Amino acid sequence: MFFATDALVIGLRAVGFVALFQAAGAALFLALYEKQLASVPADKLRDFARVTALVALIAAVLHYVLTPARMAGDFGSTFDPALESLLLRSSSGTAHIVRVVGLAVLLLSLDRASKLNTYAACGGAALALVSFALMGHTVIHPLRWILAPMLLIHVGVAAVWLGALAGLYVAARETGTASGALVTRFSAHATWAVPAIFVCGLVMSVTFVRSFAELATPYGAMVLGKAAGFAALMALAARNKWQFGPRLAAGDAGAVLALQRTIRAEWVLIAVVLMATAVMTSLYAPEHLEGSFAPEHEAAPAAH
Amino acid sequence: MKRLIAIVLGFALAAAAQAHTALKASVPAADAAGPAPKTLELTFAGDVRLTSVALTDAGGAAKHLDTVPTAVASTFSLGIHEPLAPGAYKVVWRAVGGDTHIISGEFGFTVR
Repeated sequence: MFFATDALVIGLRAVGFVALFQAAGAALFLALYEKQLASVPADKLRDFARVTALVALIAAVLHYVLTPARMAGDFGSTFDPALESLLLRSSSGTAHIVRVVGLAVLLLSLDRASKLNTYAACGGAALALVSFALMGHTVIHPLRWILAPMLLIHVGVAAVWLGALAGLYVAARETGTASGALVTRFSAHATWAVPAIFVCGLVMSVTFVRSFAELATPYGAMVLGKAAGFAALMALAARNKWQFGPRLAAGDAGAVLALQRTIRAEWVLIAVVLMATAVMTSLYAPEHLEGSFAPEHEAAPAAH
Repeated sequence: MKRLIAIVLGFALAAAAQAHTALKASVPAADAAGPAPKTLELTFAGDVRLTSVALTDAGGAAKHLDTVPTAVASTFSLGIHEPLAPGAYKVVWRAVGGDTHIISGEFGFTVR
């Protein structure tokens, strides 16, 4: 049964996921690569990160406020004290508080470039990303001690990837072929870091989806969809690394627009994967965790 | 971005349409036909917090039930406060499980 409250709350979660990853990732990318960025693209990336941090913050707060309404399937229950209390006392309540604090710190520390702001932004980004490991299916799983670090690496690297795409796009647009050195440097680092997304995702998938048969469940379909999205992303990233990076470094102006096109495609693909993940994990749990709620409602015998 | 949101929301609606029921059993049972029940009993395999239950007739008119209890439990029994005339009825329920995972479903029964 799908309610209007589901559409709104899950929609907010999906938008919030993309905005949070973008803001946290851009802040981390700035901390790692600001020295290789010219001041104009760095400032534009900082502005973009600030806007997305604000969007993520608003989405997180609205999501939290409206979750009691989704619990009851009725907007009239938005301020139901019993449901508010249930949410606040749950791991989801703690995670939301950590997320909101992290995003607020991130937002406030992105107003201008300074060493203190960089540290604060990294702290805010870290808190926002850690919030993912404080709620959800990993929290109630008996193998949480493995899943939590895997999830943190998974979301951390994915966030830096999304943040880097915005950074590389702005650098290519503002500085043209001069961005070649940055693209080459980031691609070299990504070659080592991005596979971590796959490895951690694989470990979590094997833990959650325990048999090939479970791949046919909605949760299994999400895992397969994410794997397909990741494969497509790797193909685009390889094109950046092996084709556009060297062309930019060689001063080929024609590579600038081509790189921007590929980056846009990568960004959209990551955003779709993030939004689909937000939607599916709101509606489904892994089969064995759903099991605690029972497999199916027993119908009356046919000859009643 | 608008296209993205439209795609994801469309995906959500399609996915939700296939969402499986988390209710283990009920009295009256799903698709049962029999005398008018005086209570509605919902049984889950694990503990949940029931957040809403609505009983409506074929015309969509809501029937008055006991207030949904705030306790966490696996079985809930709600009194039906008015006699049910012969006809088809629908029960729509929603509950919160582990880590505030929200589950919901509906089933029908017929009063003879």
